Amino acid sequence: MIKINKRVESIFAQAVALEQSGKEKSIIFCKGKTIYIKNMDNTLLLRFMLGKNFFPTPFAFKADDYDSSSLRLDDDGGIIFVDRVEEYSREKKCKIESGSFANINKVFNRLYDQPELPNQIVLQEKLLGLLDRRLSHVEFFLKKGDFKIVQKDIYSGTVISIKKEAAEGLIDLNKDNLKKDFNPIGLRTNDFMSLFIFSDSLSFYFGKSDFVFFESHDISMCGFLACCIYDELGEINYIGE
Amino acid sequence: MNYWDLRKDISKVIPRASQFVFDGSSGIKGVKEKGRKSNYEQFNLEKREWVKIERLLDIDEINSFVEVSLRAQSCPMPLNIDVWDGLKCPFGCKYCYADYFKASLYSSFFDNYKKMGLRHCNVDFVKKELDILMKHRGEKVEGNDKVKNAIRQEIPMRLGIRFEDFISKEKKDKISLQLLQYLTDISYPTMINTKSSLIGEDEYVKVLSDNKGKAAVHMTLISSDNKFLKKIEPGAPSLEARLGACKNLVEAGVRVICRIEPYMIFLNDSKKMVDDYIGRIKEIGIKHITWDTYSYSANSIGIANNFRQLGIDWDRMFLLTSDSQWLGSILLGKLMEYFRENEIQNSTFDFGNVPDNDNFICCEVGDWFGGGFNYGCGVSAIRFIVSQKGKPCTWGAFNKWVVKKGGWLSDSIKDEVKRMWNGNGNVAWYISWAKGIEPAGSDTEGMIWKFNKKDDFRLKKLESIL
Repeated sequence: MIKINKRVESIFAQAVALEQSGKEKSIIFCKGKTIYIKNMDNTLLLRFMLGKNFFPTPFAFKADDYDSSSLRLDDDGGIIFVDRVEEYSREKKCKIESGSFANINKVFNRLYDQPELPNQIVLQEKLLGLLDRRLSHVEFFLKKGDFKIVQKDIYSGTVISIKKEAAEGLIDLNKDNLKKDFNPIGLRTNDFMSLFIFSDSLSFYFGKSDFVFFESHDISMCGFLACCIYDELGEINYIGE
Repeated sequence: MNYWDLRKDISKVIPRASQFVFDGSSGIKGVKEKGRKSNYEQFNLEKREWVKIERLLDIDEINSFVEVSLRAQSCPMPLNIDVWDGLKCPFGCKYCYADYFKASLYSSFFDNYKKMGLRHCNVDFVKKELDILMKHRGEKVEGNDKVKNAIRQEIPMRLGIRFEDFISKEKKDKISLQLLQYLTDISYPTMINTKSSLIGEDEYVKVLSDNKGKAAVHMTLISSDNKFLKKIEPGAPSLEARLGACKNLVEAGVRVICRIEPYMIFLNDSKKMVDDYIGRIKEIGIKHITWDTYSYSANSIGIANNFRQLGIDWDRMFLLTSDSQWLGSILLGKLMEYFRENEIQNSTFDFGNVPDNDNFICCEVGDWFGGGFNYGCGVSAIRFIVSQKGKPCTWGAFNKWVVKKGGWLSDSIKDEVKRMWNGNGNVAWYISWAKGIEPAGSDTEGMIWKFNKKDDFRLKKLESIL
């Protein structure tokens, strides 16, 4: 039986909240001190580092299946969540998801080991109130040192533009480190917004055209978002193929 | 701004999707068929026994063969005749929502759908029924029987709207051929939608060219890139086979219209692809194209995943050309302009571009058939307003014109068109989507519209977003 602590429970619960809020369907991969959360669309990969080795055997399950903080792996390849109310106990058996921890780990490390991204920007949850969640994408760019967030409304024909300003702590200037202009990169609005379920404030690192790296300030959570590309092609761009 | 500049600018509005790859796979799976419970039984209290509850589909024969389309409120040619049917069309086009919806419908409502292969209508039965209906041909429109009223007006009969009628099995069974022969024998205007090269074989060409009421063929050909076609229409005949069929039809005097539906930005619209397409169709004497953007109602996870499994960015295409009606419309309009510059006549069902259509009927056959059309519809309403050259148009004037041209197919269709005229009901079909149609006041019947050639609300939105 694996008995997880409050921290792990909170990570799992947030992954469930992510799914239940309609933002992302996701799979959780666990091994040792590491938890990965990957969305079903393969556009978002999160890693959480734990202080303790909770998971001696690697396993994966759908976030939506998560049921209780006590769990065990079944001999025939399932995962069982155990819940107790006084003298009653309840077991929920779920299918273990395919896809190996080792592979996710390999992909993550390959992205992580790439040269440092030149631009660091801190963004906070309160920014989400300024975005329109109906719109499919959020665009980020740095031009002549000015950082901008833009949403183009293809329904009304209007453009929402959010400027980088120091006031009100919307963007923490002290931690920003903007070195090199970069062309617009798009993130799916849902992907971007969903990150703030896990942390109120995140550092984003821009510079690669394929992905954005982000991390929480205590560095226990970090990950990658796949960038959408402003070109004239119609095929999906596969990262790490 | 021409199409190519616009395409470049639009690429900066909605970006192309990226995905991480794990285990060498994108992880996108097809949608599983939900199906039905099998062997369902219910206890009958009166008989005191278990009774098997089943809803069975006639898997051998189509029983309802003629209909006026549910889109008759918008479409000038809504008289459809169904000849062949099946759970899945053998051409397997990835974008086909008719196929997807049909499979979903049959598997949801019938217990024996798994036994269903291909089925067709009973030609003898259809001929007998048509004999009865044809007695009304040429009569004045009356009452609310839409099919009878369509035949009274000699609206062309269309084959191939809900299923491909020229599949390989047709070659042996000749069901469509028998029906075409019937229509030719009575000189009834006939229209075919197909992707099949069978239509170019001698007996089909002959029966169509012999029709004194005239025949026209819409050959769906969304690209001239065989590699792309094979990917997205895996079971359909090759480009060369389809063009060969078209050539035979053109030479025999049948009107052939290429159909580009769906037009899909960044997928079937590169300049190289388009120039090659124009060259190939002109070479065999095709002068007409009918277009449409992707149907908004086709936004389903099953079709989206069809695209994703092929590595195609469904969302980008759908957002730009379907989800945003004005944007899809202006993109299509600009591409149609390019074809026009290359001496191809173009028309579309897309309301935004209807004022620019080269033909009164969006199927590019308004000058071809001698019979009537469904003038009491949205497309015709827009064309009527345009034809008044800037003079205000009331509902009353339009209604009078429809009656003069043959009349309404039914009261319910008239009511629906009136709602569209007045900006009520389904927003996708508002008259005001058309470029240049602007309010000119109101009267007791509702809105008064006029056409202003210089006005295009889509351009204003475009300028703003760019």
